[in-house]
Amino acid sequence: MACLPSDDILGSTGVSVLLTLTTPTTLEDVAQQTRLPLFRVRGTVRRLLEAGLTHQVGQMFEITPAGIETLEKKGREDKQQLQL
Amino acid sequence: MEAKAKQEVGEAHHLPRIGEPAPDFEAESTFGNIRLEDFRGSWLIFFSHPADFTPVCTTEFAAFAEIQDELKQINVNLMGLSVDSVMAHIAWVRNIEEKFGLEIQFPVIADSDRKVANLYGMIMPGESKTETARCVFVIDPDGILRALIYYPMTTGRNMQELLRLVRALQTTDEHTVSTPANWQPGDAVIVPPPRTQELAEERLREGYDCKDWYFCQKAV
Repeated sequence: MACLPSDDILGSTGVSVLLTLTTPTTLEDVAQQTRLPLFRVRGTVRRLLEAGLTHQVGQMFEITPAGIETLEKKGREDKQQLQL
Repeated sequence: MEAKAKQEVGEAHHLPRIGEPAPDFEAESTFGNIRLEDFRGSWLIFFSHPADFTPVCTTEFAAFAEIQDELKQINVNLMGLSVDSVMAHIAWVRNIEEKFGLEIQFPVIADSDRKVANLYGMIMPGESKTETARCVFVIDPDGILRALIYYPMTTGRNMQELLRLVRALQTTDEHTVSTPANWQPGDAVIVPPPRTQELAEERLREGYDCKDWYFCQKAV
């Protein structure tokens, strides 16, 4: 275990998965849209669920207000990085 | 007497066997926390290696990377494991990319507490009490363990054999047949032998390429 806990759950994979969840979507459709292997989508969505960034309705998953906020925050940070 | 014998050999642990469900687990990996169930619906070659930053293991990872696209095309994923930390895995994977120009596109489990290694019997105490041997578990889309291979630390695995093995298992599932020694995709396959005398008589008239009633082959 690292000496510091990692709080970075939203790498590029997490971002691309979250971006597909703006409307309720199945994991299979997420895999197709992101071109990620299904096992990777399952693990990523599980972490997003645990972080409260997405929620599940039946077989579908959708971004939460916290997920939208996190995406917006990340967008602002990336923009700032580009300006530096 | 029996209790003493049990005590001497340690508590018996049921290791996974062919035809049984592969034991589920959740573990830390280079792709974040991962569960075996995440791979449902696709084939999985789950393998262990002794240690990161060692030469034979490095040749194996490079060789796995070379066949990863071919495996994807036949719905097969790869997942590695050793007792090294996830930080060591990340550093090693990056090193392979830098030194060999090969991107490792599959997760590698950091099994520092040997939980998964013990669950799958990956440690061979006669060889090393701490490192995992070169084990391969082929798991089908339903999570059933279909094949096991164990190699010692000194001997790197043969990727063409792994490809052949998975293709043979897929052919068996698709056509309800067996595959003969040294079978390669495109070769004739073995038709299951008849189980009654009546069927044995009929078998020879069914149009297969038969040496005898119990030994019939066909193309697939």
